[in-house]
Amino acid sequence: MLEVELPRLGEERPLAIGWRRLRSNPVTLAGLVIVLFVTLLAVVAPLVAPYGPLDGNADATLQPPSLSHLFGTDSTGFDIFSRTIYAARVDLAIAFGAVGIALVVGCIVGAVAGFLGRAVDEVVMRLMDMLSAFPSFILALGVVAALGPSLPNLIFAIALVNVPVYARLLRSRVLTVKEAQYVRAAKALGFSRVRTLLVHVLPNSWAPIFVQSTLQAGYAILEAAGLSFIGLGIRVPRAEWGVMINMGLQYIVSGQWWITFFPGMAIALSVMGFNLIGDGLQDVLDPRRR
Amino acid sequence: MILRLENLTKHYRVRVGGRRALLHAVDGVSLEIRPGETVALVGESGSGKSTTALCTLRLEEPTSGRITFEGHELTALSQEELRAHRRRIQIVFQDPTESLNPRRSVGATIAEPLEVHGATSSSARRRTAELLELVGLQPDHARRYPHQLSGGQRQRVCIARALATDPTLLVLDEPTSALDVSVQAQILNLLAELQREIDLTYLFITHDLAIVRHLADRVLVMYAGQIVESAPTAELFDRPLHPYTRALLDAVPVDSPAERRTRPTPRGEPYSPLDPPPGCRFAGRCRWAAEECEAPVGLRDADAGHAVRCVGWFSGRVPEPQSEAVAR
Amino acid sequence: MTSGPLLQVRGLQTWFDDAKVLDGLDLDVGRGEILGLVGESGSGKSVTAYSILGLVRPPGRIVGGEVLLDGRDLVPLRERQLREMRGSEISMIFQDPRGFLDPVCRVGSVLREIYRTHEGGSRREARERALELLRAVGLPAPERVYRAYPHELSGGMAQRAMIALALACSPKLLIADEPTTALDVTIQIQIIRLLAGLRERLGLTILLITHNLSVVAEVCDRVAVMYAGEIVESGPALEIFERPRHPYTVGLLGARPRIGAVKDRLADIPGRVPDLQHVPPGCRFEPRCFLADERCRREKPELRALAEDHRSRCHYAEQLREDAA
Repeated sequence: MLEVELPRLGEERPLAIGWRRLRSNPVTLAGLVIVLFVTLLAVVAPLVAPYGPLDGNADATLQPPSLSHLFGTDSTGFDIFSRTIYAARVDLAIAFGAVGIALVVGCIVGAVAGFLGRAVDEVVMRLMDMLSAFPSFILALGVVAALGPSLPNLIFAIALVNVPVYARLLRSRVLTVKEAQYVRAAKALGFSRVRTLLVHVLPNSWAPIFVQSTLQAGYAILEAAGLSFIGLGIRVPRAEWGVMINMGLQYIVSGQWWITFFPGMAIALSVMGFNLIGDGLQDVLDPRRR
Repeated sequence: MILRLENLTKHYRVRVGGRRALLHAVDGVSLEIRPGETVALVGESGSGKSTTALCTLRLEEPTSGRITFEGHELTALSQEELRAHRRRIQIVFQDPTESLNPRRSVGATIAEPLEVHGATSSSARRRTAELLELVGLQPDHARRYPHQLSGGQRQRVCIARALATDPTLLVLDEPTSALDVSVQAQILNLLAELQREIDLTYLFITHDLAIVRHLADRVLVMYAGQIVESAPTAELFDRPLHPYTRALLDAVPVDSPAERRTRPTPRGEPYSPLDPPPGCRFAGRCRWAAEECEAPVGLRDADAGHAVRCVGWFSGRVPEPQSEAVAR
Repeated sequence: MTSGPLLQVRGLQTWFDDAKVLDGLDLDVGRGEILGLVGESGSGKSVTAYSILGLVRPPGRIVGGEVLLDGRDLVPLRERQLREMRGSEISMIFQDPRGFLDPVCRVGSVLREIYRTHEGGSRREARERALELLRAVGLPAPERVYRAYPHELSGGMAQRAMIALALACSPKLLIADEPTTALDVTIQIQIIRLLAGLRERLGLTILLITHNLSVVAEVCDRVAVMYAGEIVESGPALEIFERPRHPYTVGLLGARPRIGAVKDRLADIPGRVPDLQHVPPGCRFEPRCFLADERCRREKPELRALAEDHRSRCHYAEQLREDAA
């Protein structure tokens, strides 16, 4: 069989194509860099931060940004710079944790509902409807209020709120992919339903989920910060961006802007990073788009 | 006898403009396929030929009727029990692009049925390489993904996959309709070769009469869910009895301008039979239609091996096909 | 009206980024004739049609050549002038009739609008002419079709409606891009006969683009065979089918299963269509050609005349015998 030159091997597996495309899109690349940077900082916090998150210094309260305190200090003498970095650990843990859990649970729920259909689908989706009937923030608030404010509870609350999003997305993709010719071929070849679902339906359905999850990561941070801000999440004085904003609120009018500014910027930067990645991920995960 | 369909019927409940109706996609189709044969099922839209093919594999569940394959009554089995038989009867679909999982490599796709039915991964790999060669591809195509292959190559992969489990019967549902002429020729040649080399039996679904002429031993013509004529290939082309078969043959464009000839243009359009009348479903388009066509009519033998579903033929109203009209 | 071919394409170059899909295409369509433009996927036949109508969208663009309709070059025209010309001088019909028709408009209202835009007139006049036209394209119940929405029409009826829309303003040239590919066999022949009949009655010139050689054999006067963006052979239909003078044409003709002559094995053309981003210096068909040699690899053949009106782009055209098919 005469052949025209085929592209070099190794470059053409779906993931490899995706990586290539990801690298070539400057916007997505920027997002990736930002998120990686923030994550890195969070991981090596003790090495980078000059002070501990709770190292108060009564002599150096409310200091503006300076060489010894890059982001200034707050009313207890905590170094804002160090706290901002340490807070990244908490907020990213929430983002990755909550989104991760919601992703897994939502996918299972959505896949089962979409693939099995009929009664199972009805019941499951009505449960999802109940969850999404509440504005997400209120629901998270309710859960934390009931269970008590702590990091694990906060992650759980935000995850719960996000499950319906993924469930619906995945279910709708599964419904479409289920009808594809190659799924029918799988049935003709005698594959079990479980195999068909795991090997053929799911891998072709979950692309939009990943896109959504990067966006949700950003929202998760906002929700966590918001809940902490009103005192229902992480409690003062633990280092978390929302908490820090809360602690600095009363000082804005008196001119100590740095206490709220830097954590606020951290939130904005992180959320933006996630959003930028989200935009590019769609392309990355679709092997058919050449 | 490899496959026998007895009165296969598939009805769909549909809603048309608010009204409930029954779509008689396949109505009482019976056929037999002997080992090594190529039987063609010919028809246009609404004929039910594809649905028949899908029902044969129970990819669509028949409403009624019996399917017997290699002595086993497939219609009596549960989906679980059926899986064991799926090795022996396989299908190749029309659109090779849609039939392949875009995220799996060619090798993984072909090896999968082997592994599912019990092969070890090393024997599966060996067999995959064999199968690739059998369909005219190279062993290192196993590492490619569908999007890197041309339409013809993808269809070859689908054929290889279908052959992986060593089926005795291969159902081909318009396997070349989505391909270019020159690629179609390659695939048809391949199918002919394969049949000789590994002793396959084909149930070939198509609307293209030229392909039928080229490949099939026997032809069954379907219209609006029913078989209207069945005969050995040469006989059908030399002596088409049913008015629809004649219209179909008249409709096929000539092979060369030198062969242009005036012949009647078929009237009307093929349709999907929704709550069809009890009588002949072609009567509305038929030159020779008369009152007797309103009564239900069955498939009867007109000649040895040549059956037709037409009252007018047996009552003498429909004349012998003229030799110039079909002379080929 | 000048004499000579109605449509003359000279040196048409349409490029897509770095793929030179058309790179110097020449084509003539005679007045009142049905020309079949034949090619497989990737041959550039649809791009040719779109280029003629100025419908090529970025990243494609026409970079050179002329398209002369009755002597008037269409390539340099601005969009506004092209719009006036489309529908009234050249019309096009497509493969998928229902995709072409706006699903929220009744067929009649679109027809009426075409009349009133190009020719003015009252609503009643426009309706009369619309009904006449629907009848002329063989629709049995024109009033019903007039009131119908596209999804209410069957494939064949929709295709006829599309033809009616295309002919509403009596264009000189109708470009039909795979008009019967999506249709059932018995409908296909009806549409083919309809087009031939319209050519007779209205003096319409038709450029019929298709990959189906039998359709061409049935109804075309002349044929042009396209491969990889070029015309490789052209001439009267009978000549091309009975005495093909290009290896690709020979291959295509031999690859068809025939009702008339049952062969043991179909001729197949090995290999694949070339990548138009890396066009070879010599003959584009050379890698797949049974006649090719070193000269073919180096030197690109010109489309040259072998006989009156029979041209072939092959160095060895004369060597092809009739029984090569």
